Amino acid sequence: MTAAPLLEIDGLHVAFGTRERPLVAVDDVSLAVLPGEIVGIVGESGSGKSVTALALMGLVDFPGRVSARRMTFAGHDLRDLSATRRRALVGKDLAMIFQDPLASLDPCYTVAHQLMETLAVHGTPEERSSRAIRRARALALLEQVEIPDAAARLDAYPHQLSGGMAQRVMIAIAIACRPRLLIADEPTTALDVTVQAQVLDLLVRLQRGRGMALVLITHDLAVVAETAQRVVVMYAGEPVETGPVPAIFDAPAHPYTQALLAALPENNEDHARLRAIPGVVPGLHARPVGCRLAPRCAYAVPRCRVEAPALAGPPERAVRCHFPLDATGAPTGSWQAERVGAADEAKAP
Amino acid sequence: MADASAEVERLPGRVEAFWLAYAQSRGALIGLALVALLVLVAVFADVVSPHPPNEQYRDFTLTPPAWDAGGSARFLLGTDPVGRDILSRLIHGTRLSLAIGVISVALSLSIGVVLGLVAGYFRGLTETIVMRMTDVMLALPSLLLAIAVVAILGPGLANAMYAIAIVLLPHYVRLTRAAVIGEAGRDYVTSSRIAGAGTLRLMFDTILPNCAAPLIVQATLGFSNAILDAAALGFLGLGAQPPTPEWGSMLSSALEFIQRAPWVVTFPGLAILITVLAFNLMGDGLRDALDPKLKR
Amino acid sequence: MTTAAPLLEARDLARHYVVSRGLFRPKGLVRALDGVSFTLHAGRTLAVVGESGCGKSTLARQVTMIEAPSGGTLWLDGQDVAGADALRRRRLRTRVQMVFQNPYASLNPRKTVGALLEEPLAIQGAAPAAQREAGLAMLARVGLRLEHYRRYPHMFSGGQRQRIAVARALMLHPALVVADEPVSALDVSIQAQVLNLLMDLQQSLGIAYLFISHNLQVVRHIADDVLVMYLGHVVEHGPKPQVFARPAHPYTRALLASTPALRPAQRRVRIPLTGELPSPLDPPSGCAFHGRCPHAIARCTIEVPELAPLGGVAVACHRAAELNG
Repeated sequence: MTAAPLLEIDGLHVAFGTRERPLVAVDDVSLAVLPGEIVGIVGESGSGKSVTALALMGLVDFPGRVSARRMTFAGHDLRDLSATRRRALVGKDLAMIFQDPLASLDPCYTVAHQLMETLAVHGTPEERSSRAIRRARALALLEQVEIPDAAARLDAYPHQLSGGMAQRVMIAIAIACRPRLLIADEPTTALDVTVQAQVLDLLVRLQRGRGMALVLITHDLAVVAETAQRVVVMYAGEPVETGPVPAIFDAPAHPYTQALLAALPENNEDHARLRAIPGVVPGLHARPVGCRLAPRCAYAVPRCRVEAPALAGPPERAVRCHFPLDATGAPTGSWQAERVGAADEAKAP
Repeated sequence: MADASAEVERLPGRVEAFWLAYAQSRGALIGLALVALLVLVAVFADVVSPHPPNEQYRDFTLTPPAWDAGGSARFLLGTDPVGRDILSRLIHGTRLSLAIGVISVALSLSIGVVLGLVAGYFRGLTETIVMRMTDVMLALPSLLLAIAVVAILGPGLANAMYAIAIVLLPHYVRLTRAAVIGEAGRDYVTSSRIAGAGTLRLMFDTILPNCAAPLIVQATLGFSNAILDAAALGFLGLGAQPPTPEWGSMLSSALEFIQRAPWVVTFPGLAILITVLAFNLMGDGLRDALDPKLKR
Repeated sequence: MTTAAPLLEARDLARHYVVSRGLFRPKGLVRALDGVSFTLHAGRTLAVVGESGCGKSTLARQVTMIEAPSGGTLWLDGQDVAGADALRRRRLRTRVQMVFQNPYASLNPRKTVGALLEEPLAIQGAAPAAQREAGLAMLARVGLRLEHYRRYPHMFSGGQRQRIAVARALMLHPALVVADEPVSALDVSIQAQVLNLLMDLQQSLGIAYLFISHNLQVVRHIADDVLVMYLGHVVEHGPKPQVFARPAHPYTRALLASTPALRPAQRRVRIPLTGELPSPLDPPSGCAFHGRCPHAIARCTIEVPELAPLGGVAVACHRAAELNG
């Protein structure tokens, strides 16, 4: 890692509820994104992946409280930005697209209006001064996101667009001012399979063409495997494993990643019972003491239930587990000894 | 198959959750307290009231309230032109006003909900007929409509209640129809249909309970409408007939004394004001508590 | 292939809707289903695969008898559904039930779990004691606990609600369950649990599934046969191993190629589809797919292809034979 990271987060913590009884949505997230890199954040519902993105963009409203040891983007400290400075940054150098494109576009305004609005605020001086230039740029953007018949679509309203079209418009709005980092929160979950493939390909093409960094948030492991270079796996508000693709999927070091992969239909024999993870993700109110996965983990020993593991290892390959799995998928460290010890205790009169 | 037996979240029960949401608003609590007070007064009117409402004290006509010069502690709020204790009449009037509210709203609600259900469920020609009739009723000023009905049926408290019920009807029809149309397309209704539910069960057992929230709110607000309308009819001499201690007719019979003995007019007016306010506050509180839950 | 009579058989099933397009314009016709034919035998799973507008939800409504077809025939358990009167349909209701996609909308919020489970039996006229007994038994069968019987749906998670929905669907002991995207709204780990439940129930009760899904990985795991649909037409129908290994129709190929895969070895070369899904109000002439198909020829714009056998599958494509060598 010779280049300076574009985005650096250390110890991000987002809590809701009252100060006496906080509901911690995101706990101790650390992430570094290099310029031009694609990083995937993977997790199920309740993992805190979306809240992380919202915290980055400054979209967590009261009563949410965001704190971090470090949260910088291109040298700017994101923690204490004044509203004016944040507006100058967000939407221009730092952009985001969301899951439901039809809900994210304003139904009262045409596509052209919404594109031109972004340009009017964040564009170059010529774009800001001339309406004609903005409109020409809007058309160029629609063509860049491969919308067929772009000229006609300029004056369409969002409800006249299909899901795939609307998502492309969202991407166009997001990349209008040449952002250096684009955060995509479940951008294709609401789309059909063929459209999903097209939109993902488009995102990767744009990313490569513009040297833009991309943070892709999704629950779909296959999408991340095909698109990202690095992955952060989150569970119940914490990152549990980070690593490069495909190594993290070939040899996962955290039991949750291993279990998640094992539960996928493609990793199970045809028609056989899937290797499901028992139990459910603990809700905000019911987080266990000790390791949050312990109630569901196949390898849990007494130590796991009392002592919460810290994220250990170099940032490129960190694991939050007392007994990380080795290349064969077996727990390392003193796991065997502790397991035997626990079994003996259970058998004792 | 035990892998599913995870703990069900200990969420509060529906009644508890509703109360928590309702109690958020101070106005709603005040409204509820006032309504509760009114109900108690109405139920125990015979006990609470210092005098019989229709007893005329010929020696004490137009006595001012107790705190005024010339007033007496025997008639706390004074007496009317015929010597009847105003406080006692107000207390017994509470019983009448609440009864008017309950009966009119109950009548109107039961018929209106059925009509709205039928219109919203069957759509098509049925809906058109029902809704256009409703539109006609809505186009007439409500008080004139009430007067017209009473003119046909004859004056009297009972007929006033029927008239008010008719006036309130179109609102419940429209509300129910809109709620039914919104719910009828939902998956759980389809699920019941696939299970073999017939039309009646679908309408009353499946859909209607899910339309309850806006109806409850409207019914509560309808109370205050009913009381105001009854007072207006009473004021016009078309509702409760003398000597019934209904607040509106109390107002009307004392109008000429507004300069000489303002208390005869003020206190019935205040009673109407407080009661309507109480029900409105309660209705607002109900709406706030029920709607977000509905839009979960 | 079994020789026993199929549980569900559709032949040229069609469903058209008339839609008004404004006061002065002629009414439009949406051909939601056209010429759909397939069979499903007892205890097997037929997966219906396709994207938005392909007609899979309409098909679900036909099979569960919520709507009558506009044309064609539909046979359930040897009885004609399309022409059935109300009494026959009511009796047939015990043979087919449905599980919906959205676990947050498919359970009546005003009824307890117990009431939801007992409702199908109550409609059929069972005694209250028998209803309760059956309800409790089914609740245990899907892995929930006794104390859940009196709770309301909003207290349960998505996966648990889906279990309740499955339990409710099974109360009448149907032979066929239509599952409309039953796991699409669930997390991966919960998906696995619910899929296991569905498979276990199929094994123990011999239920057939009409499994509608857009997730091809799930379909690959659970299906016996696959029906691929596009804009209301069946484009391919055959046994799952064959459809996945050697897809015959260009659309099936595009679908499979677009599905992201974890392992590079399983990934296929992307087949980019040009254009957008046509509007069902204004379908293209000839083959519905010709506007986006990389192999379209002149004949495709004129003539609607028939579903014809090729190898072990049925394909609706003029060039199927030459494209599949």
